[in-house]
Amino acid sequence: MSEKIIQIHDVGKTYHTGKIDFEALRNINLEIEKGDYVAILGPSGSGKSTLMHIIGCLATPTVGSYFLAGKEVSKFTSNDLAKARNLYIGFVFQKFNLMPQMTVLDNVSLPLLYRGIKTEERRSKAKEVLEQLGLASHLMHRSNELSGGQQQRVAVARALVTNPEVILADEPTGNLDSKSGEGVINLFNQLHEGGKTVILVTHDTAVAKNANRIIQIQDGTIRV
Amino acid sequence: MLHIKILIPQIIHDLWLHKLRSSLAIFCIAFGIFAVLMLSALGKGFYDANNAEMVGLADDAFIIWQNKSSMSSRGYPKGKVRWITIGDVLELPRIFSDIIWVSPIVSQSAVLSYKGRAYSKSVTGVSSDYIGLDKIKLTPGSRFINQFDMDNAANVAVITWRMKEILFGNDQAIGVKVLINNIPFTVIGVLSKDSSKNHMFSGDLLISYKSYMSLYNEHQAYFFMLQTNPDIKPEQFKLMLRSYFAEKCHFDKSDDQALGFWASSDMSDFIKWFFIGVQMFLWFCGLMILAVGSIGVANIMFLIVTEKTYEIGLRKAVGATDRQILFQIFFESLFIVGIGGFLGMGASYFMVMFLQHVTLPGWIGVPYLSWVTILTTILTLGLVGMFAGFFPAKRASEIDPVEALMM
Repeated sequence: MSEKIIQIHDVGKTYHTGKIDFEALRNINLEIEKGDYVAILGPSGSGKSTLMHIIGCLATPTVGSYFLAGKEVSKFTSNDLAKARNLYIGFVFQKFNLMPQMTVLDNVSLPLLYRGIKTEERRSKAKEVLEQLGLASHLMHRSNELSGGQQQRVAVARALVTNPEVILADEPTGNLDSKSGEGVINLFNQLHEGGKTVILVTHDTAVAKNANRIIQIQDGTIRV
Repeated sequence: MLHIKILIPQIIHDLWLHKLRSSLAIFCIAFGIFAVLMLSALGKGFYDANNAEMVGLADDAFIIWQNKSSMSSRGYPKGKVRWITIGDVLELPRIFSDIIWVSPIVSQSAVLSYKGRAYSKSVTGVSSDYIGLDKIKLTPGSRFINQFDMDNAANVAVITWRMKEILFGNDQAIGVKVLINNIPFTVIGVLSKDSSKNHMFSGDLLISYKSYMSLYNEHQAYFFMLQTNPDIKPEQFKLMLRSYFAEKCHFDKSDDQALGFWASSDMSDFIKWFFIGVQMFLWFCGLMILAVGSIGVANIMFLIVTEKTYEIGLRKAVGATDRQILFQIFFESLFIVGIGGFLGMGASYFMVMFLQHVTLPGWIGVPYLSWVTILTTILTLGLVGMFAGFFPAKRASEIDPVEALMM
């Protein structure tokens, strides 16, 4: 029997902006098993980013419960959420989100810094992941010296360096040309084949089709 | 905690991005520290140079004078007392073992004649201890009245610098005979210029009390000075002496008016607090500059936090806790303040070294930095850094990663 890594029960999220309440998510029920390859598909404003934030422990639900690797993170404090992100989640963002003042090696080793791992070990692990992704020759480059595709590969390397349970990618091909986008998607396919749980958040049906399971979201709810 | 080796290049990068603001903030801190340390160093030098001069008396010295009694005592009516004599004063060290030096101080005007010219001047009779009590200094080649002069009732005189100029101009004064009320006196000493201005009794000539007694046939000691052992408390000594003279001179020992005291400790306490006040003021001025610097650093840090909101969001996304972000921003502030402080301390150290090797006016003294000042400054600097860093760091730690990543 497969282990459920993500269990979301009756989750809702409401944003309070002044006197107006905006219900971004409602009645979300979702279970993702370890090793799943899931795409969360939806148009802009559908609530998929909010769902990604909750799954990624960047935000907590207003109602409902969320269990990540068996722990109810919906009741976690800010610091506990930070630790959960570091332990279980590897983020890949649309805009790569690399630090331009840091080298590729330092960018990739950054999550390990917050895990309290020593410099040498940090660098060694980051180097290993970068070599696996074909970026061995760019270790000491600044991120702004790389192409878009290379930058996104560095971002994937950063997501992988902590060996997280879940890779959470938000529109990972959104800022890439088709060829680079294809390369990045192939990378996610390989990660899935290697046993990783991969969640793609996208509005692009072509990208979503790479996943084994597509969850469509519209107006804050999952379409069955 | 976060790895400082990674933070430092980032901090330098951030500072470089805001060169002008950063350098102004660092300059403010450096100047504040420079001002605090220099004002403190100058204040200390000034205190050392002037404290002794301002007190003007030996430590633990007293000037004592007698008044009429303010109450009746043992059948003696109010206002009726036996006056203290020079003999009473000279007897004191035998009665009170705590007395180290003692001198009567008796003054009258006299006619001073030299080379046919006569001047009306003030003559003061003292003992050989007076030189130590009033901390007076003599010009080279001079000497003060000594025990031998007193034992032999030698007619010798010590004159002030001003008298020397009036009588002798640029000529030699030592060994020259002058007439005091037509009695020949040999000039044996000239007070230094500073001592001439500052000595306690502004007489023009000092002679031995024995010469004075024979010159004026005067035995009453209007004033006298003495120095006690430092172990005895001034108030305790005053009580003992008042009791002694109350018995001897027929006044009540509780009569504060009958015997007046002025202790050098009173003056040194006043001067000590005066200088502490001056130094506190100087410190306050320096601290105000530091405060401006710390606001500058806080401003820079707020700017950096605002510009790094996205980066902070990202750091949080990959696992940074609020406390780690707080530490990072806090460390950046301390780093800026530390650089400023280091520059300020270095500059003030070299400036003090320089001032110690140049000739400054005597009243300024020799500035120096004490370890207490340096340690206090470092402590203050730490507080400034914490103040400058805390609020921006707190703001940074409270950044919502979702909102930050949307920017």
